[in-house]
Amino acid sequence: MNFPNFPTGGRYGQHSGSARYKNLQVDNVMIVAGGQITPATPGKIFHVDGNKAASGNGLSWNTAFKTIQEAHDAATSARGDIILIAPMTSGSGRYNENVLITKESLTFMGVGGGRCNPIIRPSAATTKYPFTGEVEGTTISGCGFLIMAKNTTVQNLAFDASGAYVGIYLGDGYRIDTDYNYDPEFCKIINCVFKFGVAAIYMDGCDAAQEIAGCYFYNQSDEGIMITPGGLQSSRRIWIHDCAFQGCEDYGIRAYSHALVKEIIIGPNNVFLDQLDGSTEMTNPVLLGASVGTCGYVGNFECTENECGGGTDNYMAGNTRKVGTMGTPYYITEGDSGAN
Amino acid sequence: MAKEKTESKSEEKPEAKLPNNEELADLMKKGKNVICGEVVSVEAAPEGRGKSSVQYDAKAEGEENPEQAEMFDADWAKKKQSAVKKKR
Repeated sequence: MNFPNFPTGGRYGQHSGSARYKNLQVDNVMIVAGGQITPATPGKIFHVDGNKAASGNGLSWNTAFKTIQEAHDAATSARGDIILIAPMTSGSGRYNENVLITKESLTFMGVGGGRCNPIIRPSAATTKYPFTGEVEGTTISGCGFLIMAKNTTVQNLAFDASGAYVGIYLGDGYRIDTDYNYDPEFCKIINCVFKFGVAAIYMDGCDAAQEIAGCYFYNQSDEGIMITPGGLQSSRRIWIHDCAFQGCEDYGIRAYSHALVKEIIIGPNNVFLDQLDGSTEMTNPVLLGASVGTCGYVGNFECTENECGGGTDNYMAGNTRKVGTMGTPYYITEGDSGAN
Repeated sequence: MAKEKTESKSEEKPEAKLPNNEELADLMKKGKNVICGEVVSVEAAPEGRGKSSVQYDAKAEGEENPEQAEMFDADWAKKKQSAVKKKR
């Protein structure tokens, strides 16, 4: 290596094999760690405000993007970019989007006040990515977020999946396009609200270290969380804790019966509740399919007619169950998310 | 001196061909699915599922056929957008 513009030797010269330079300018630093070369450039923050008349460059609220997909497309993969999403106060009051997430290490963060703000709602009119998938026989028309990238974090958002929709799909992408073979790992879904739909979260081929925490699942027609083996990847190493599941008609959480659905930790502090009106009683709060194994169901509270069941070689302990009602449920209303 | 063991070529299995989008849709019509690269028969859905899906009146809400029965239409895959670069 030669630096002709810098003097070597003498006070700032080479000593014992090391080189010392005065006034050395470094434009970019490459950190080599664990065999990966990562640019030491910090992530950027992009802004999304659907109330804007037109999209800007996304680098400030004044120049925000109108859609979440635009922000994703502008972000750089694996840099740690953060996408801030403002609440919608105009139009339908929701982001009617189907966001395809393939760039790694992005954080999608809602910055609205209240439990259901901002809210994302997939719809047929905006479904860009058809889905050859189903949850218990119900064909999925579309998903709010389609996450296929590693290290994706979604927090402080609400998803209204009314109809045959899913709030968040987290998987290898095979059912969206059989040419896709993604391997999402280390994704986190934190402090989100899910309302209606076939399933709130559909995990289909995500095999390492997913975490779902602090979320509220309300009245899905099938499952709050459906876990299946993907077209190409297994589904395992999933931690679900500190969530509330209310009136999910089949199951709060269902793990499809397959040997490659395993290593799921449910707990502590999940709460499962039937609806008080009796019309939306859960079949079970949790159903681990017969072949699902090496799971933990620990430290949860069931206030449902039926209890957790299924699975083999699983550890269940420290769960509390109360049959019947437990006062006013934690209930969200249309006013929380705008009129359908 | 013992002969060195020769590897049998019969142990090398050809890579299974996965169905494309249209073939996958056809398989699912027949109650099959692709799971971790293998075509398998899926278990029947348990009874009692999906009770509340009828609460959502798509027509009244102005939605465009949310059930999308045409999802398995043979040319559905042609509608896909390819804006996103595929990983492969």
